[in-house]
Amino acid sequence: MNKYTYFKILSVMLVSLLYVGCSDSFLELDNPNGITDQTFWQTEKDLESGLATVYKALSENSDGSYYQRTNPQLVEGRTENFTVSTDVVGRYNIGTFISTMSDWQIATLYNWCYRGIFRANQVIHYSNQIKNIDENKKNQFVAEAKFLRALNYFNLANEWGAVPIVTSLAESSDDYFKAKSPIEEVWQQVVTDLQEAAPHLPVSYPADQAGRITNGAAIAFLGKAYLYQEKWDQAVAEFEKLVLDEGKYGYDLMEDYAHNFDGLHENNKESIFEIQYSRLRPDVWGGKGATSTVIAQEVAGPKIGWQEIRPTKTLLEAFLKEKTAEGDFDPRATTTIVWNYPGAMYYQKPFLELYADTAVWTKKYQNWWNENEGDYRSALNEHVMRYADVLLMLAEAYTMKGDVAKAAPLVQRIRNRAKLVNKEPEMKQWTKEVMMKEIQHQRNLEFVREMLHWFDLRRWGLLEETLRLSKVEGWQNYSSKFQYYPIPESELNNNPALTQNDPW
Amino acid sequence: MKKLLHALGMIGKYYLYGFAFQLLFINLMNAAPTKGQSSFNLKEVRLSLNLEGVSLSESFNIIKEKTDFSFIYDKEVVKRSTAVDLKIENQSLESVLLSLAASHHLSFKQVDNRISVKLVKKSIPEPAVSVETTLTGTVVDKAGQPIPGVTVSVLGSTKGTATDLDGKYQLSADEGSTLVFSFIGFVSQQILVGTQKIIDVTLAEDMASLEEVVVVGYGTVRKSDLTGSVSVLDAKAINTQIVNNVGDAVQGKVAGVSIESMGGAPGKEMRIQIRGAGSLTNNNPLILVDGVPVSSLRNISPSNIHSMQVLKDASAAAIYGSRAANGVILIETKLGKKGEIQFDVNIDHGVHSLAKKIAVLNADEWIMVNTAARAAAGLGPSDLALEPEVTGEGTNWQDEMYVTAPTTNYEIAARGGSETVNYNLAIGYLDQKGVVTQTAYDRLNLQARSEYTKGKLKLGANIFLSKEFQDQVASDGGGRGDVIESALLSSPATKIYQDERDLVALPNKMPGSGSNVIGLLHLHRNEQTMYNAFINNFLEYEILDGLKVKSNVSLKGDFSHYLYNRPSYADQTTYSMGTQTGNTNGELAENTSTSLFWQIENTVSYNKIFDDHSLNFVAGQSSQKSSYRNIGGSIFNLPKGITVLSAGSVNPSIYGTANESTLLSYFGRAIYSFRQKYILTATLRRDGSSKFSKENRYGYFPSIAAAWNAIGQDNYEAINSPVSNLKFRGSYGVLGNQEIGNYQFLGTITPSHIYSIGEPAQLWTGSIQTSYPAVGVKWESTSTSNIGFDLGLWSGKFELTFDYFNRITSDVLLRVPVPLSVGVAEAPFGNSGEISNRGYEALAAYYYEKNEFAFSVTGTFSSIRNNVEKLSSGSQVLEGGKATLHGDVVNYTKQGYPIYSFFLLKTDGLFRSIEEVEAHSKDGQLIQPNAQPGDIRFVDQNNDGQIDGVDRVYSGSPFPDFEAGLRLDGNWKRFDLSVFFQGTYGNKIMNGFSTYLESVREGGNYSKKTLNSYTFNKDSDFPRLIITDPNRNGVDNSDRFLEDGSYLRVKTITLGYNVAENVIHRLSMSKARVYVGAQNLFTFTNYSGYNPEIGGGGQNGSSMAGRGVEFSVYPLTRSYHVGLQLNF
Repeated sequence: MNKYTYFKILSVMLVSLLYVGCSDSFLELDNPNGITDQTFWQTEKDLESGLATVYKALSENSDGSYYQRTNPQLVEGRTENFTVSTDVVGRYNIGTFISTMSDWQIATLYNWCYRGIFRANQVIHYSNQIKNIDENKKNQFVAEAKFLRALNYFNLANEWGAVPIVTSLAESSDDYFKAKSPIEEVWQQVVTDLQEAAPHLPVSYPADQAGRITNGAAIAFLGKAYLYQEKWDQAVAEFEKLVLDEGKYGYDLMEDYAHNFDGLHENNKESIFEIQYSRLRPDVWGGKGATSTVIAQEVAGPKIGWQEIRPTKTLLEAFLKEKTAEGDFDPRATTTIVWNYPGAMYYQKPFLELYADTAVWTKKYQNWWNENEGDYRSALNEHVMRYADVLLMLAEAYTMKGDVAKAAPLVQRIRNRAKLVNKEPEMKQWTKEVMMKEIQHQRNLEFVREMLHWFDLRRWGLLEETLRLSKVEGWQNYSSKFQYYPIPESELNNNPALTQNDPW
Repeated sequence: MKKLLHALGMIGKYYLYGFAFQLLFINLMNAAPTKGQSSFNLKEVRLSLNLEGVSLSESFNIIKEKTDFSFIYDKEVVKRSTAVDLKIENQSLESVLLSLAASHHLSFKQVDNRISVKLVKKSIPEPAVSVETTLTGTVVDKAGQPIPGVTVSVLGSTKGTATDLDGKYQLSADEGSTLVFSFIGFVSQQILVGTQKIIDVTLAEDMASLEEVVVVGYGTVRKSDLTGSVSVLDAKAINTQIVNNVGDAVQGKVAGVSIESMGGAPGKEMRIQIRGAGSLTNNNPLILVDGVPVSSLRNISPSNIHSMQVLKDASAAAIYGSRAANGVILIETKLGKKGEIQFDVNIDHGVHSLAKKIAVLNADEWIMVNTAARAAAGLGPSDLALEPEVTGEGTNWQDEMYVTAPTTNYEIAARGGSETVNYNLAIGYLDQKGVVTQTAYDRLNLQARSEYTKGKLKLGANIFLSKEFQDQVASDGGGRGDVIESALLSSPATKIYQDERDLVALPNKMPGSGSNVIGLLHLHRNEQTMYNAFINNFLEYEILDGLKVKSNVSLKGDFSHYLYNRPSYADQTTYSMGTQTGNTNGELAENTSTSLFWQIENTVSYNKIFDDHSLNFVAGQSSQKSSYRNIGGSIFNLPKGITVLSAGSVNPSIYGTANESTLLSYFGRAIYSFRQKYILTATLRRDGSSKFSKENRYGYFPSIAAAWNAIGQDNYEAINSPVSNLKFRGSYGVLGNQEIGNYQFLGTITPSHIYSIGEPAQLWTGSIQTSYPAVGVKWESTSTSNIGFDLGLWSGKFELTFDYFNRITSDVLLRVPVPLSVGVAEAPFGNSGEISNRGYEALAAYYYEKNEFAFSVTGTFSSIRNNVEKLSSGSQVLEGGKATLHGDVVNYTKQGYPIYSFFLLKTDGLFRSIEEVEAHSKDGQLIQPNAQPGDIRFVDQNNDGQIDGVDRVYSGSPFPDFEAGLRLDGNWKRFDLSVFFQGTYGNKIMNGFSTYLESVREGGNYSKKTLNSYTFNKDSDFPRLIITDPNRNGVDNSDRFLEDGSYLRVKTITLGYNVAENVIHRLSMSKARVYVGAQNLFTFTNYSGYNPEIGGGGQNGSSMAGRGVEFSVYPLTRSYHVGLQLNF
């Protein structure tokens, strides 16, 4: 090599040094995975896409989302109707009243309510910047978001009581630290959102959108919010809108109670709002890509599933209190649980082939007509509210107002569907107290496993007595502070503006 | 040629070690010189010279031209010398050299046709009066070869001489005085002068005193010029043959570097941490293999490593700026030396087995304990206890799952070189079975490295390829899915097989239990295949003497394929599990990912020695880009035995993600040395990263360091003092960390939230922002102060290196916790905290050699105190890892404590009576209202009358008080023995296994300890058995399950035998060694789990939060090896 060659090599190296080096644009990269908040929220499609995630928050996380596999166990596990398996200790502790404010399960549940709220707040906030959108569509999407925000605040008020209210997006990190509002204000937030949502929601949807929030759902939940605050008049006013105008809303009881839970009649005329599950996606354990729930596998009896919660003898006894007019078992009993009744089949096997004579296991929300729970993915929708609930809530509001006669036909409508004898004439004569007892009994049988009984007992002041009488596992540990969950410890650590709720 | 030789002279170690010793002892033996062998006798070569007023270097040139001898010397030798004044006629070269030696304080040493020149320094005043005797003798090396040029001096006087070319000397000295024999590369010897007239001396080689060069990033420096804290491991220290993983091979050998296994699964990564954990996002050091950054050491074969340098303080690592805050590991692979081609063949066979089993109940015991625990809660016996499938000993799931697993490792390498080409070709293949049945790992490595020199131009190429295959433990994805845990928890009263090969699907009568682990392992496939490749080429040109430009281009690609197959459990040909757990239609998931990386680095370097001053300067620029893309899919309903996605038919699903990042850097470093005694280093690097927004993109990382060679190997003082080397070092610098994932400063919309809607159901896919962006997030920076010293005693027989350091990481990148009510999936990153790591580390070594016996002891010790100085507002707490699937967090990062410390409820023994339960009260209210005698008393720390999370207190941390390693190497005749100990002290482990096994819940097996519980023995400290556990004895965040994780391990023992020369020479070999060895032979620990070394793993994965948390970590194994090494 001669000097000239060296010079050439040197030049190439120096040029490459200059070439690669100096541009700042080399460090400017776009995220290839997606869009940012700067570029999203432009179209109607963006808004509807954002709305999907607000629905999704109710079923996204298997431990935290309110209607996914864990929470039904937490709510039912506290009642006299179920015991909780010891193997998942966090759930067991809640079920037997030895949990503390430090249990992560409570924190996860709390967080997911607010995750839904954060998403709803985005949809509401960004709706205003979207141009070229049909105004009705926009209002409807915002109304759906508000309903879902209200549902999350309903669950927060119902489980925790006084909590922080967040209705806007944080402008800076200072906005993260919100003090809590009294429970009355949380309820007021629920009411406001539902009132604002209702007028913009359609009464019904085409089949391909079945499962979205209707005008009737907003009214029904508004009524429920009033009922839970014992505002009987306002509750009656809302419920009557639906019950006195069934033609408009199309609500009615299904003739067969079991059709609500057989997977073949979802989003039916009795459905006010249900969380949609399907087997369209393969993911098993929840997550943003999952569309199914593993709850059926978790609750199924031995040799099929894991019996994380187990029906008690107390529940069976409640069902056996009154037989049908024809002397059969209440159809709600054989829909909800399985025991050794004549012809009892469970996962295609005669009951005794699987279990001892004394066993009781769960049927409601199980795919018990199949051979097994398959790959753990259940497509059965979880009901957030059924029309039967509206009827009984209206009956309860009437009764609490002292209007027992108006309550009687509503209660009998529920009894009729359960094929129980007609007691309407005599019920009309009952005292408020006797009528409430009947309503309480019917609500228990009607809604077992639908995450209502625990809150009903609390509203009625019957928690301690019911647990004591049933002697359900852990009843000795119960004290009144377990009516509500504590504010999670991690929340107290990270938010200096918060204090623990009494009596925690 | 002169310059090349000079360059060789600068690279002291290679020159001296490579040429002087190897050529002297090997080539002389082989008698291979080329021309005029007879003319290499210095006494026979006669010449006439007139060197009056000629410089020393010119004199050498003149002699060279006349004789064919060339001279090798350091520039220092000629720079400081006066002109020669010598005129001779027809004298022997030997006498010429002796004259020059006398006039210029030089010593000469002939090696073939080369003569090495060395400066001899004397500055000691003469004694007043003395009686002298004349002494003579010969100085030889161990092989009996005479050593010319050895300085023979009288201790405490200026008297001295040098041996001639036959190693002979003559000197007059006082009786009773001491003669000192010293020569570079050999251990000095002192001999008392008595009445003897002849003193013959044999000098031993001194490996330690060779002037080493140390790779410090973008260049090398003489070890004596090093100012930073750098640990060097040579091939001998790394390659212990019986370990095939670099992390394993280095563990315990470098002071200040903590290496922990993340479980014993074959092919598992190890956690490497240099000087503590300063960051919450990333504590991994930057690892460069021949200059190319790599993410893992797993696919590198230890035997292919020439040397490994660990840059620990800011001064050493500063040139790497960003990413170097956690230290830098530089690995240099082997490259052939000039000379004959050499083949290395290594063959190793080993067997691995589980070192320890955990004592759990057998079937009868389980029935008894389970029944007692249920009875205590007023419950009747469980179904399984009433109708056990097996009784007596029952099923021992651990015995069924853990097998003896063979390992085979083959390696072959060819190395060699000439004046212009050096190369190394290596092939390695490792085949390792796991001790968990059906798990395995194999690895194929290929490397071709070469360098080509022509004049001032040098080209290098390095091609590295590896293929790895990992057959991982199966999991069914939830519940008690993990097989390690399931093997412990599966009830001994259940059967594995229905009949032959027909597995029983759990659960049968076991509520809440997982699946039959043996079935999962046989039926599920959980496999990962990885291909890694990099090519690194450089071009270097020396523009002027000492001024070089270098351009380095690297390309790297990592390709990974993951396959998960859960076939239908029914009608499999080999094993089937019936259909009870469902899974009738089979599932397949596949994922392939591609990581590409390129890097271009251009540097200019300048090395110059001016008289007393030397300068080493490098400046450069680096650009790099990483891009990652993955594609995955899954499908159901596959035909039997088919595992391609197209064969499935139900619920197809696809996904893919991508990301990229870039880094643009400029850097410079200058090292100035005055007489090799005072050294100053300054470094500056500027990094720009795409991970930060425009305003916060650039970070500046400066460092400065100084060193003082108080006593160096060239100092004459060293000869008269036991201290042969003493150097003080100090440095300060700032380094950066940017590891927060890409695009964090943007408010990213998360896609693919899928809800189903409508009748019939259809997918409704949503996108939303699930977190707030990390507004204003910037570089995390770590400042390190380091002071240390290197001490050598008795000519390097004893060495001690000690460093004290103080690392302060500020602007710590962390997800500053926000209230749950903010509703975000993850808190945004912020720079919000300060973490300190203070500590010291030491390495001490002692070498001993006598006759046919030699041994060395090397010990490392490090102690680090980690503390979170500041964390956000101060009250905020970062949650760490969990020890159980559904349990609570057990470790937290909190201001004032080490990161990820354990905060746990404090237990205070058992309640022995109802009175004791009642006495544990506050204002008349029982603190533990559900307690009974035999339950645990918890301490109500905040005295609020109840036990909850607020009562948790600091209970220790996963960080040890100190870590230590001790290596003993011995040789006796043809045998060699190496024993390596390693251990930690003072670290804590949260034992998730015990949480399950010792709290008697449904659905699992229990610990043997339950047999001696309070239920059966009122004196026991083990609480009563009650399945409902109303007192929460089994609560997973109490200190009941926190154990001392200290351990001392005999990590490796190897005994080797070198086959006799006459045998191997007949086989044309240069070396043949056979060995037997063992790894993890003994572990002394109080820890009750499988293995106290828990760097993470199990369900906590590789996150720092998993350190010290036992949660389904694949047990470490013990292995025995036999192997053969051949060189020819």
